Amino acid sequence: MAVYTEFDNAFNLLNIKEEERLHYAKLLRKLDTPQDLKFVQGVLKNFVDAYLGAWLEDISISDELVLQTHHSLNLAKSLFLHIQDYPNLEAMMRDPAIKALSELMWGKLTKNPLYPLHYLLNDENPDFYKWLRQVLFIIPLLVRDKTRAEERLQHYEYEDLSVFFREMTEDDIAISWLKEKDCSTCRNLKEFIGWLYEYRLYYRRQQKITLSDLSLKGRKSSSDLTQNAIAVYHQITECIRILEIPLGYEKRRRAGGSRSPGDNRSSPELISLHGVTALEGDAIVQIETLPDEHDNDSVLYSILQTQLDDEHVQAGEEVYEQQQSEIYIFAEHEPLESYIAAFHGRRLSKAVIRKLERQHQYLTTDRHCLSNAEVYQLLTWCRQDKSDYKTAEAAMVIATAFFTACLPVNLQAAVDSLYLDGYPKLSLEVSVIALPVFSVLYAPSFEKTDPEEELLIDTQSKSDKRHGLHLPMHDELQRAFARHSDYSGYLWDKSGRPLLQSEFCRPDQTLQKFIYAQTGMDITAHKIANYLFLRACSMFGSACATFMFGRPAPGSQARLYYTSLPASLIQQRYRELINRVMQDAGLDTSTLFDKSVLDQEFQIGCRNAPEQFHYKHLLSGLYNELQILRKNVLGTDWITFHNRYTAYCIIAQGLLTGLRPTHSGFIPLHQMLLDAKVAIIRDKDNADEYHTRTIPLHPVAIKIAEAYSAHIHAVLGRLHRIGLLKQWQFMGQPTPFFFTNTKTLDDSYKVALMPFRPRLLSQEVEPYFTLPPNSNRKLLRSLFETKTVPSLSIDAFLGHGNLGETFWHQHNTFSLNDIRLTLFPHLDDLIKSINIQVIQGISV
Amino acid sequence: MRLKQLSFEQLAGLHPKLDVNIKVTSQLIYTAKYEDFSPAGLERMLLLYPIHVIRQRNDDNVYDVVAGLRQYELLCVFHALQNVENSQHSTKFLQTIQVIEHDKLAARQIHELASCDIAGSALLFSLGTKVVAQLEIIKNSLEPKIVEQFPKFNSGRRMADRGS
Repeated sequence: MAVYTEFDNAFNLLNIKEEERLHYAKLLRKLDTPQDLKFVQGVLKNFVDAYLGAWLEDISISDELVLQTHHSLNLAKSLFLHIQDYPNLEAMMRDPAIKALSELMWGKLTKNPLYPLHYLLNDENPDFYKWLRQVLFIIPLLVRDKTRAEERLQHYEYEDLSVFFREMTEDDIAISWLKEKDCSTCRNLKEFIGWLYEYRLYYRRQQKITLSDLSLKGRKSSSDLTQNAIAVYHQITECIRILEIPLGYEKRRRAGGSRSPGDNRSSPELISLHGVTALEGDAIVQIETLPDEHDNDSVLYSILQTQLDDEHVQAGEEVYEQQQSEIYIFAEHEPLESYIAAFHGRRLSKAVIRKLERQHQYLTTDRHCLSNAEVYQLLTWCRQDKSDYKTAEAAMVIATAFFTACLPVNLQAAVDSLYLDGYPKLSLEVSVIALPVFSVLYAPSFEKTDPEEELLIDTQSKSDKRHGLHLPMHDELQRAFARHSDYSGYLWDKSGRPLLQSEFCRPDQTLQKFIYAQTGMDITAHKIANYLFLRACSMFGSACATFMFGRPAPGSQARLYYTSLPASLIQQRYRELINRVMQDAGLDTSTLFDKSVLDQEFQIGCRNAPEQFHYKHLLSGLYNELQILRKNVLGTDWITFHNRYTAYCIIAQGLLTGLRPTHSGFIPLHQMLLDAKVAIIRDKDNADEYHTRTIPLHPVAIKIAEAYSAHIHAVLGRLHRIGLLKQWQFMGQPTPFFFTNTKTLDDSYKVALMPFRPRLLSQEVEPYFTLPPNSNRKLLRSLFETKTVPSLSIDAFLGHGNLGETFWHQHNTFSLNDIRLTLFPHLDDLIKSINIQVIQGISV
Repeated sequence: MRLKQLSFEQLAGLHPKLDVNIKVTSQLIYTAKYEDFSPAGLERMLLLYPIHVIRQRNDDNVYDVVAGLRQYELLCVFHALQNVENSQHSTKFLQTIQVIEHDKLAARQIHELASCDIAGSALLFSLGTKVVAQLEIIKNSLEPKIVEQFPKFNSGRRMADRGS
C-alpha cells in the first residue's frame, strides 16, 4: 500500500523510493520542514554538525533518545548525500548569498517557526546555535509522554522561541554577549537555560534597567528606548519559562476566555508587595562547642540549610556531607523554630567561625577536663565511708554523673530498672547501666518504604535498642548505691527514680559548692559529666564516644553518617576506657566489672551500613561476568564489557581510596603523583579550599588505575572506529565514562557516551548490589573504627575534618606516612578478605 | 593522486560513506597497541603508509579519510590523549602529515579502497606464526636506534603480550 506524505512532491523530484519516504518524512517533521523542502540541504548539514561533538546529557542518559537520535542522524546523512546527487535542484540547497531570513524564509516564518533556527548559521557564536539546535530537537521528545497541557508546549510558544532566537542574531547587545560567551561545552538543557539567565542579566546591565522598571510591561514597538528594552527583557524571561517547561517547571499562561477591557487587576503596579513564604528544605542544627557551666551562653550552634543535587542523592550523600555555600552560626540556645525565624538576621560574622576553627585546632582541654589528680581525689572521696545521708547522696550523684557522662540535672530521670522508661537506667541487680542508643539524624525521606518489610528486618535488634545500650556497671558506682541506700533506706526494688528529689540534681551550683566544702576542689558538674566523654573522644574518636554515651560531640557530624559499630564493641571499649582512666588516676583496677553480663548484638550508627560480604558478592559477580564477556571478545559485547569493567574498577579502587562517588568516582592514572604515591583530589563542590584532599594511594589502587588507563587507550581506538572519539573529546575527555543505550547492541553501535554519574554506576552493579554508591566510605570508616585506628587518620583519609581542621595545611604536623602506617595494613586485610583484584581490560 | 601536506585539523574524519564498514570491524584486535608506537615511530609509519584522503565537496580546506584507516586511528588517539595526559609526547610530533590526495572518487570506489585496506592490510602485514620469536628476530637484526621507536620491542614480556 502506498503511503502518502506531505513531502511527496519534493520526494518525486528527488526520486526517493516509496519505502523510504515515511522515514524521511518523520525526520523532516521533527525539523519543522516546509513541504517544498526549501534549503533543506543546509538544515540537514546543520543538524548533523550539531551532533558531531558532545551531546546534551538529556539525550545521552536516555536509551530511547539515544536510539532515536542515531536513527535521525543516519537518515539526515543519507538524505543529505542523496540531495547532493541532484545539483540541479537549487531550491533545496543552501543559498549562500542571502542573509536576511525574512527574505529566505518568506511565507514560512509563522508556519514553520523552528525551521529557520535549524537553518541559520551564526558567525559570532556558532556553538550557541549548535546547542540550541540540540535543544530544539529534544524538547518535543522530552515532553512527548506528558498529557497535561501545562507540561507541554503550545504552538505559539514555539513561535515565541523562533522570534526570540532569530532576533538575537540582530540585536546589538545579544551579539556582543554572544561574542563574549564561551559556549564550547554544555552539559544539559539546564545549563543552556542558565546561559539565557546570564544573557538576561547582561541585557539588564547594558540597558541600565532598574528593578522597579521591571514592574512595567514595556512595549516592543514603542519608540521609547527604555520601554523597548523592558519588553525585550520580559521576552527573554518568557523564553526561559518556555524552555523550562520540559524540566517540569510550570509556566503561567493567560487563561482563555474574554477579558473585560477595564479589568486592570493584572497590572503589576496594583498588586501589593506583601506576603512571605516559609523556608523550605532541610535545616539542621548542630552543636559546635561543648556546653560549659561557666558561660552557658557561649555555646555555639550552627544551622545548615542545604540542598542536595540529584546526583548527590543518587550517590547516597547526606546533607551534612555537602555543606554547600553558607553556614549559619548561633550563639544562643533556642528552639529550632526561633533559629529559623532568625535565619536572616542572625548570621554571625566570620569572626565567630574563626572562633570555632580556633577551638578545633587549639582546644585547651583543661578548661573542660578534670586532671588525673582531680579524678583521683574525687573518686577516693566517693569511696570513703560517709557519715550522713547528704554526703552519701552527693557521692552517688557524682559517681553516677561520672560513669554515665550525664549531667546531674538529667539524672533526675534515672530509673533503677532496665525495663522502666527514662535514662540512664541503673540496674544494681545485674550490674548494668543502660544509656539511650544514639540515633543519627536523617532528613525526612519521602521515599516509600514498606512498613511490613521494615518490621521484618530487625525486630530483634529494634526491641533491643528500645532498652538502651547496656554498659557494665563499675564497682565504685555499686558501692555508692549501696551506701546511699544504707543511709536513705531507699529500696532498689526496680520501680523508682532514686534521684528524682535530690537537691544535687538541680540546675544550680549546689553540687559544685558542696564538693568545694568537702574536698576543697572547685569542680563544676559539667566537668564531671564531660570527663569520660572527652576521654572517649580522644581514645576512640568522636563517633565511637557519641555512640557510647548517646550524646553528640561537637564538630563534624559527618563521621556519624559513615560509622556503624556493634554494641559489643562499644561495651568492650567502655571497659578499656574505665581501666585506662583508673590507671591514669592511680586507682585500683583489679576488680571491676565481674558481675555484669552483657549480650547485646546490634549495630549503632548510620543506616544502610554495608558489610564486607556485600562487596565480596558484588566484586565476584562482576568478575565472573567479565570473564564470560571476555571470551566473546570478537563480538559487539566489548561495549558491555567496558561498562562492567569501568564499574569494577570504580568499585575496587573506591574501596581503597574512599573517594566520594559524586564527581568522577575514580582517580585515573594521569591524576596521580606516582613518585609520591598520592593523589590530590577534590570530591566536594564547595569552594572551600580545604576540601582539596591529599590522599596516599595504596599500591593496588595505582595498579587498578594503570590497568584502566591501558584499557582506555585501547577503547579510544575503538571509539574512533565507531565514530565516537570526537564526541569523547568534545565532552572534555571524561575518564571514566559509560556507554548508554547498550541493551540492543548490534553492528551499528547506536550508543552514546556519558561521563561518570552515580546513577549509572548503580545501574551497572544493580544485580549484585543495591546500596547507595557511597557505601564504600561507610564500609571503610566502620572498618577503621572497629580496628581502633587513630581517628585523626581516618578523618584525614576520608575528609571528615571539623570546621577549620586542615590536615594538609603547611603548618600541620600530620604526615601522609601516618596514614599509610595506620590504615594500609587494614586495607591489605580488606583486599584479601573481599578479594579485590586488578583485572586487565581490553588491550587493543 | 598526489602527495600533500596537511595539518591534523584539516582531516575532518572518516568519509561519511565509510561509517558502517568501520563500525562492523570495531572489535578487531591488532598485534600492537597504541602504546607500542612512539610518536616518532608513528610519524615514520605515516610517511611509509600515508593516509588516503579526498577533498570535501563544499569546503576547499577540509578532507575526508578513505584509506589508511589503522594509521589514522592511531593518529586520532594520539591527538585525543594529548590534552588529557599532557604527556611526555611533545607537541612537535604529528601536527602536519603527508597524505595521498585522490581526485574525485565515486561512492563505489571509496568503498572499495577502504574495504581493500581493511581486508588486505591485515593479510599483508600480520605475522603468520610464532609472533614473539619473529619479533625477536626483527629486534636482533636491526639497529637498536630504529627499533627503539617502537616500544613493543622493549621487553620480551611486552612482545609476548598479544591482547586478550
